[in-house]
Amino acid sequence: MTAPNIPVSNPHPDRLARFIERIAGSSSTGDAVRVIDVAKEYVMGKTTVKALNGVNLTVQRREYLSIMGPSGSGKTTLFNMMGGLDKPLRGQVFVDDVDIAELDPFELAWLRCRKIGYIFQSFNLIGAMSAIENVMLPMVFAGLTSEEALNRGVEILTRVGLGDRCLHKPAELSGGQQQRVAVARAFANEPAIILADEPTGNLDLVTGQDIISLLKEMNQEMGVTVISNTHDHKMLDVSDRIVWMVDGRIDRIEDRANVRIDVGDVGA
Amino acid sequence: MVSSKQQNQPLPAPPQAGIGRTRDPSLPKTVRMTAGSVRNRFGRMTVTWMGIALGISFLMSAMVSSSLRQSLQEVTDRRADTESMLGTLRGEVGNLGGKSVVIVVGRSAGSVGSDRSLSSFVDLLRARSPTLIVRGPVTVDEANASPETFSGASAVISWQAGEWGSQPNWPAWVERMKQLVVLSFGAEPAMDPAAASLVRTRELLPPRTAEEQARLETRKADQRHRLRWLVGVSLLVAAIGISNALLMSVSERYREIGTMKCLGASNRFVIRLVLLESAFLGITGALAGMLLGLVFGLFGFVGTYGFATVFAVLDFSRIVWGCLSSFMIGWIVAVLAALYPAGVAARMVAADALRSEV
Repeated sequence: MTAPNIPVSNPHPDRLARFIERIAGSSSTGDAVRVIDVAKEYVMGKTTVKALNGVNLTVQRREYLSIMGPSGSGKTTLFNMMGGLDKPLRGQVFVDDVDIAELDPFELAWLRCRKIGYIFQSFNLIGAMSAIENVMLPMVFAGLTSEEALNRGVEILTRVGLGDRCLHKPAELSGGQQQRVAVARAFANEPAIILADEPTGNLDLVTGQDIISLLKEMNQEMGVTVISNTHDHKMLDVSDRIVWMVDGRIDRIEDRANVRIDVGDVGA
Repeated sequence: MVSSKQQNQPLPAPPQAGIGRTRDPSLPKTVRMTAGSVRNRFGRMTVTWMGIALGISFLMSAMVSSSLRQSLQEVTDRRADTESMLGTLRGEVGNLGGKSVVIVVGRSAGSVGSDRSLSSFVDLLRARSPTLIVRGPVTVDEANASPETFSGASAVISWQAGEWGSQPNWPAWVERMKQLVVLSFGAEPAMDPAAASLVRTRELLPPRTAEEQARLETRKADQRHRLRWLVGVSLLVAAIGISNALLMSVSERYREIGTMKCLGASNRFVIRLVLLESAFLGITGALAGMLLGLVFGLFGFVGTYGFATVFAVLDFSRIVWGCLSSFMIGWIVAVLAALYPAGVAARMVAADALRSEV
């Protein structure tokens, strides 16, 4: 935990007081993600849908967590909350002990760049860029020089088995290869957390399995927390814990090692 | 940002610790990224680019053709005037064959070569009666210096006269001009009464009647009105076409912009990237459209009037002004049109930008 930088000049005395109170009253928990009583609603036409209804969840560092549940159970919404992609209606989300509601847009961009790596169902590679350019993009945003980014990009593409495909455009790669590029891109800035949104959803069984094992390997090699939102039961084998969601609540959390079924940490 | 609600809840950890602020890639790097993006997206961008180019070429050709039409109208008017002047001349000296006339240019008309209507008058005079001897045009000073210019002349045409009479040797050659007719155009030559009594002066171009004048003015106003309407409509069409092209090209990239934001792009960077790209599209598209419109506008007239006539009447300052303004309009409209969707995309919550299917 780095020392908090308290501003020297103090334009907000009450804010500083609260800040100090917080430091004094707590210690760093070291959790990768903490979700406290988060709720979110969507307005769909005339009805309001409660996508999340008081969710509490703690994800430890180096953990491989899968979120499962039927469509509409709120797992994508929860997932977006954890990635700072969406703002909760109520409650708090801490990523690496940082309350993301407190961040301004530039800090949020920094967080997304350095702390979080995203993997999407539909890969979301930039179609106009080659594999290596896609992988270099987050490093460019992180302020690396082109040369550093290139070296690291080649290195990490080689790691995911695409060392010879660096200059190919996404359209020239198979689905599995595209998702590998996306994995390489997500890991480029050595994030603390990888958020994988149905990473195998658009892939066949075998390539899906490849991606799952790749994620697991990276999870163990680099000590990165992987949070995956999935329908795919192949994922269960590699997950440390499985969160089952129903109707915007956590139904239960299963621990794979013990096959124990926890009572869901249902919010108030 | 700290709401009272948050204040009441337990806050287990200090926020902001270890958090930095994203720094946008430098401008040269952004430009390089834009160039790469343009190169990679070339095929798809061509459609947008052509939208801009066509819009601007439409505007440009409207401007060129209206300018040319105006210039041609001026030439036709001048030709009609010249015909009328020839009529007057014939009326005074009879058949023009074998006669000689002297053209004297007054001081107020400036240099001899600069007057277009004078040269077209002289050309027409020579073309219509090849046997007529036209001397000059000479300036008043030259004429004063060598009065023999006038020997044997049937008529003197005083072109935009100014002062004539104060020359010291004026009476000497006005003596010889007793039988001459002085036809004035633009202004009566000012001569002393003694000299004036010796010559007959007539207006070369009879003044227009009030009715003629009114008709002429109505016609001009009508033309101006039509020109404004044409340019206004083509401006509107160009602006709408360009806006639509840019709107489409940005909104189909919402997803890509969402991805960029996930990878750490700031809102400002997203806007900068989109604006640079549209500025590039706008500048090159407007340039191409300008040239295309210029060529099309000119060629339409070259087909009808012939190369020589069109280039003879071409008003370069008006054409250059048209080029500049359509170029500026092109790229400014392109950037403005991109500004709105870029702002929408940048403000979008990243999750929504990712969700959008286009």
